[in-house]
Amino acid sequence: MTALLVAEGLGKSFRRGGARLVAVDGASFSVDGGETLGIVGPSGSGKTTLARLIIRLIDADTGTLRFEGADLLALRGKALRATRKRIQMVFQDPLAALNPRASVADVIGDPLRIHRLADRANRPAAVAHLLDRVGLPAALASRAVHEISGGQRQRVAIARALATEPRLIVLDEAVSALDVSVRAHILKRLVELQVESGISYIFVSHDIAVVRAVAHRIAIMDHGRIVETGPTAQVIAAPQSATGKALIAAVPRLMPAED
Amino acid sequence: MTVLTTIEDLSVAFRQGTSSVTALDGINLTIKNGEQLAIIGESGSGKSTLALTLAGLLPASARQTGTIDWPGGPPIPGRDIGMVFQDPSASLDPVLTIGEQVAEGAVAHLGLGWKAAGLRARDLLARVQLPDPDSLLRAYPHQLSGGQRQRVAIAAAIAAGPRLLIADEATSALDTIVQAEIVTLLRSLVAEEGMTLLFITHDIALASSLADRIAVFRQAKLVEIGAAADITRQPREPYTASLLGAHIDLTTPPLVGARA
Repeated sequence: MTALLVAEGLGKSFRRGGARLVAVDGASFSVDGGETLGIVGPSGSGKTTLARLIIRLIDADTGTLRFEGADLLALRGKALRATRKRIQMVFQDPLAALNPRASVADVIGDPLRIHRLADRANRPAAVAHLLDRVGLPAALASRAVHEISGGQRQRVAIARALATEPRLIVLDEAVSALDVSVRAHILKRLVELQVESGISYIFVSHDIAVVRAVAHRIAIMDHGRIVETGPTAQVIAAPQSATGKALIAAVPRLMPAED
Repeated sequence: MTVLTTIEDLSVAFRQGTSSVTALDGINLTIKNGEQLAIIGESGSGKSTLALTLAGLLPASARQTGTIDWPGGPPIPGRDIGMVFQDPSASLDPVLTIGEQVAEGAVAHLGLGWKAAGLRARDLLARVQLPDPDSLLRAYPHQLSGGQRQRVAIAAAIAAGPRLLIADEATSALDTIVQAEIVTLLRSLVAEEGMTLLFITHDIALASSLADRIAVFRQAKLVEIGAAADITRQPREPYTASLLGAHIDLTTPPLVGARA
């Protein structure tokens, strides 16, 4: 298996008053095609900054990032836009990420228009197809983002991310604000989409139980560093880092069944 | 156990434009003194409206019918009922010191002067296990982490020694490690103070780890109520079973397998 994305020594610090805050400190990891890498850590561990570095919403201070063999951090202008098509992101709060007054058709149609993937005549059919891929009816296209439910909105955000047929989607706490039943359906659909298309995910969350359900491998972050990486089953069964142990111990357990 | 409050046929509706939305519909519920009752439900279940109704915080435009009887006399919000909300950054005043905010309840309800209330605030900050309470009294909310802010909000909520503490999604905005710490804190506080705890959450496992009884709400109605062990092991209602089925913990079968 060849790696889709390889990060080596990624670092990012921010100025805060007179001090420097190191948000990401020498992060190295890789993601294969068709694989899900879960990134878990407590608040302030740097996982969201890392997610933003990967899609180049912010630029890294140090390190290298290779995507499909190309130096992602060196890309500028046209070449960067072309690559952006292939890496998409879904955020926690779709109401903040999407224009609430836009129609669902526009939200999903915009990337098709911007990247010239479907002309005006073909766009409604393309939007309907994308809605179907995330399990929503085509009739939703004419509704405004603010009119639909939170779960539907997050599905629309995923459909928008899928519009450019990316190879990688970075999901930053993308199911954390959803009701449990909605969350379960969306996770299942994400995994089905992966099986169908071989897409890779970077799944960022503070909740190791949810990450365990969808990730092939887990990277645990704390204080800007990746403190542990391994296959999901191995990390869950025998965490090596103190942070990994704490994250696992903190998962609320349903009352154990009576023996 | 004696009864703290008996709720009979409680309905609450909010005006929305020209129509009205029913947030609670014919709720019957008895809360006992000293118990830990969890209210669980998804978005729109009415669980937060129940908290606001009990705390006397419904907006004036809300229409409330039915009765809420308090055998111990009508409670004074802030004195007899303390409330902790989801977002401590929104519930704390950014321009007041931690000391002022925690002392305020003691000044307003216990008749303490600011100096005595300040000493009580320092003790309360120690009770909620915040480090260095003396210097914390002069700090501002933005200087603290989210978990520390929620501890301050809890200290403020219990400042006047309430009979009932309502925690409305009080751990939902925190990461799981901090969530576990706050749950441990709440558990020990209610045990030591003999408070009644109403713990409102969307997380059925969290509810079962903290509460004696669980009440399940859905679309403004109370679906079922019972001992936490019975609700999680033998739910009577299909809706409760579906919530349990959708719950994800470390024993849930993973959706993906190992890769070669």
